Amino acid sequence: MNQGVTVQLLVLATFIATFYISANIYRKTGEFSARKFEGLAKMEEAIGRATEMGKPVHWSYGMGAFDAQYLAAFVLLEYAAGLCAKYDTRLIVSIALPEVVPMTEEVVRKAYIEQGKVESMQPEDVRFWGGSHNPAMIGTISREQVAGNFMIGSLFHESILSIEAAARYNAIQVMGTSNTHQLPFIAAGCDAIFIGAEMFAAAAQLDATPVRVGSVRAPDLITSVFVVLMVVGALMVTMGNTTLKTLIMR
Amino acid sequence: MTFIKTKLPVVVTFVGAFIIIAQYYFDIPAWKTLAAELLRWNVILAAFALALGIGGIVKLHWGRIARRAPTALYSAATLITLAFFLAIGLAQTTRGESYRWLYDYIYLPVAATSYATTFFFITSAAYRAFRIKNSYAAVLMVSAVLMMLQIGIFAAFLPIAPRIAAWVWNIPTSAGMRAVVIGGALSLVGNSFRVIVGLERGHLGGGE
Repeated sequence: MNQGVTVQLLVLATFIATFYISANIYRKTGEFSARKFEGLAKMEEAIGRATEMGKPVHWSYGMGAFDAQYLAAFVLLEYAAGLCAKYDTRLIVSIALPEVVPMTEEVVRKAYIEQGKVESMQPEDVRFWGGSHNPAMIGTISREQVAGNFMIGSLFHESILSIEAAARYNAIQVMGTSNTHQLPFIAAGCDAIFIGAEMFAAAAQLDATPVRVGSVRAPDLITSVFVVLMVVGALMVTMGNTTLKTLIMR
Repeated sequence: MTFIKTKLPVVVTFVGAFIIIAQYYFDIPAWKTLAAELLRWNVILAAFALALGIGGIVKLHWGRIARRAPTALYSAATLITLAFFLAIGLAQTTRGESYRWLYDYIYLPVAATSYATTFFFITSAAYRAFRIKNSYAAVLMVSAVLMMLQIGIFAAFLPIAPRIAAWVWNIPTSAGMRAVVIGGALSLVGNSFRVIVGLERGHLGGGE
């Protein structure tokens, strides 16, 4: 075994066990509650407003590398695409990474199929921009004068460009990321945001299946254990005892 | 067809992820070599995806030209540039003199100009953010002022300002950011696990 990863492996094993136990408990009891996320309500409001105004809504994942944030974004995109299909509102998706294009097409197509509106889907509205994502995104927002602007994923400075471009048209804006360096900007500029883990919890709230509930409860429980460990560890180190610290670093 | 579209990607994802994760925990040289090789394949796969993306771009802009949309001229410029870069790149590779010239003297200045516009966007974003509309905006404004007071002439007139700014940065900001990082990281693990073991297949056009 590699050095310094024993506790990490233990945490991973505990995480997986907690995941399955939580999913099974939900399967038996059906009990799950999460606070209402303002971001989901704002998404619906934005799409409703876009429908009234006859304008499209815009979606982007940002320019960050492909990671699990995209997976959370897919669930929220499916929700937004479903609402757009239901209300016959255009959804324009700007994409920077080529490998995300086929996945996005599948997610959007699935949402339209579920609403029985597959013939309304416009494949050319899923747009791959590559390295020119940012200017192309600003251009799209400006030309189409979007009524709603959503950006969920691994966000960098492009979130500011998107926020300011869409603010000129008073678009309702919802963004979400785990990238802490962008959170202040999106918090300041958007109508609602998903902070880190909220993106994943929102997915479970949309469709509370055992798997999604398990993947929300497991991080919650492990986080609680971490908080206790941090408090105990801080007290122990303050008193000059580094046993816990040494144990965790193994 | 269903197997190729939905089941095979799950199997490939599971096997690939298992090898990459296992070599992180266990010291098995053969697995490390295999993991490094898989990561190299990732670049090749992305190149295939790039071809799909280019196909999408051509389809979008060709459609605009065909129906004589108001932006057809820009679409034509995009397609001509795409074809030109592609032709030069294929003829000389990306290390060729002409390709480097095109990249260094056309693409890079245009990209830098685009990036530089962030300054103006940040300025207008700051103006909108610092208008005190509610208690959250007030906290943001006060924190921003405290951070700004630590630099230049402000610090000379108010020597305590850098210490206050350092406290804001090191204590409340770090605490909040670490909470987000820990919560976000664990959720990322949960989400990734769902995909790796094939419990989540939304991105493949299927459900759970």
